[in-house]
Amino acid sequence: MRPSNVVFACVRSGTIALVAFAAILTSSAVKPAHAVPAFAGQTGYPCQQCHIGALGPQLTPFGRRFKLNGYTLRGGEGLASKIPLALWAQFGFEHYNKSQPAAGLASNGGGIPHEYGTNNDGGLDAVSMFLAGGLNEHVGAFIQVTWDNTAKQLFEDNTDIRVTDAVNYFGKDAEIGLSFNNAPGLSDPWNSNYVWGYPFIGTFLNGAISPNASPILGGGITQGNSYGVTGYTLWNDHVYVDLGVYESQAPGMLKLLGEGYGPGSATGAEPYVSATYQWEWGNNNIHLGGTWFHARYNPVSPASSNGSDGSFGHNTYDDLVVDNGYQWMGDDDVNIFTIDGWYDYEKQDLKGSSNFLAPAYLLSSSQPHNNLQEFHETATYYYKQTYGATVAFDTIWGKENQLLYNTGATDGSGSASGSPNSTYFIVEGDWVPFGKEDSLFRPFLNMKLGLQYYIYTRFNGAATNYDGYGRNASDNNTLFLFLWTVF
Amino acid sequence: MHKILAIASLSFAVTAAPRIARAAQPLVGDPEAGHKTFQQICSLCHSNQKDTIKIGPPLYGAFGRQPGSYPGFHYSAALVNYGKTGNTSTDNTSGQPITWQVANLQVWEAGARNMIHGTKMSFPGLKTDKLRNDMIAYLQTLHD
Repeated sequence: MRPSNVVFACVRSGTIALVAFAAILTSSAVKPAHAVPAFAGQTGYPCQQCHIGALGPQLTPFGRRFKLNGYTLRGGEGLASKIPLALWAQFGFEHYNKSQPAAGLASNGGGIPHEYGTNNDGGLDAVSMFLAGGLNEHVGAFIQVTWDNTAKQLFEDNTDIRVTDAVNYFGKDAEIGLSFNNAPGLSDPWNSNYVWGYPFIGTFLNGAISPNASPILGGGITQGNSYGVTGYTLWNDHVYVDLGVYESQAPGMLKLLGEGYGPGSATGAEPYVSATYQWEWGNNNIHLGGTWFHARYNPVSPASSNGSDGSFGHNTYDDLVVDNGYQWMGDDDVNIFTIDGWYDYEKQDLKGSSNFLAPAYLLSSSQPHNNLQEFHETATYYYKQTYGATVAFDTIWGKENQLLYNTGATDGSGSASGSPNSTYFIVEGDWVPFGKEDSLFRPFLNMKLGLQYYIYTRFNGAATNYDGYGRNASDNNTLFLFLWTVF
Repeated sequence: MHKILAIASLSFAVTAAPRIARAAQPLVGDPEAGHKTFQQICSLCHSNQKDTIKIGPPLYGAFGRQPGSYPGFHYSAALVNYGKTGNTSTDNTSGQPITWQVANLQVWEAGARNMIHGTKMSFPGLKTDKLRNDMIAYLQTLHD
């Protein structure tokens, strides 16, 4: 669950009308799509040129290059090339192996959105609007605003504004750029991090139950409570470096929008350092990268005038991430195979939340020193960019922490052992009938029909009775049928 | 004496290099813009360096080269045959070996498979005349 916020503004500039919306969202569990027909119209290329499975959102080598060049490549003609707008809608139906406990219902103060029950719910999940395209040959943007139809709220989603150039240094061609964005990792062009990695779709429906632990890059920091800038370069097609800093949204802005800090209010700039090496041979490409992120927060405090209080100590997070990926873009896109994944080691120093001299509302950790680790790997196969199959594995583990994880919740989200450990698999099948060179009404008609199944072998510390109220990990196995439409 | 022999050897090496038929044509576009197009698009599959084969053959020296002739790269039979005999609709020849020039590159860059059925190059093409002409101008500069 991640808090998020959006700024209300209305600007008209040149041939592009920019409209953003303001809203408040208290929680968001979905990762909305970001394959954008506006880009297809602008470039003149079909969606499959940039995206695996003709809708992605996984990027092909061409798609990564398009992103690194700031979304500025042009070549399309006609009306489609002049409209930098796109609309995305997600419909879904969700089934849990065992219905969630009634305590999760909104009427009982739980996290399940109003109008939805404890199982077998469906309908319009979310709608996103994109403002996406190149302003000129150096400046481009990808701005997404999403309406959560289950919580009936609007929120700022992925935002990436770039200034780029193609240059030559040390005798080799290179791309350089600045990315103004709202989440660490958002500037990354590969699909092997929390922002752009699998699963590419989730649901707002029945969002009360999910593993209760996540490294800060995977849950605490969101597109709504952060902003930052990174400078990057891809040199000689091999070496990618991305350096930047992030900050929490200002207290005034969060208060104005009724939004929360998430992990807290940053005490200063949060450095972000990422480097990747990629190499290609034939139709193969591989990348291996590493990321370091450091953040220091004043814990959230309801008693403080600015919503955070560092007088009893601060919370510090250090994440070291190693990510990997492989793609076989073989035989004219008939068979495509990809692997993406990462390992994250997070060191947590929660002095601010474990100070027993502090007021009770600041106390949320049993001890100052904690760690959390996550390993995530995904394999995907697409046939003719139309029929796809994906298998993913994820495991989270770390130090027990009673105050942090054993919330005593009766809605199925608790951990009786105080352990953060969870393990699950995801299998997914997809059908993407459009998005090719000869597709009907290209680039305006796009859809993905998919069936996703989560299999939990361990949930919040145990395989059986993990919450102390008789719920088993497998009770949370989830079948999710979804339809994306993008135009 | 040694310096003279060295210079003579170098001269021989230069003159002994494969001759690339290159028509003396004015640049048809902006080679700097074409270089950027190369970086944004073509470099994914082609190198602009001599002797570097990626998914496609190097573009260094491509202008004026016989299609399907870079040594060491496995071309489709369709493109090799095209290089040997041309195509009267694009090259105005009568079955003689041809080279990449402005006219046939403009068609090729608009969509290789529309021009030569069976070619391995699957890229759907550069979408505007300017992109194609700038790219051709850049190719015109990629030579010894």
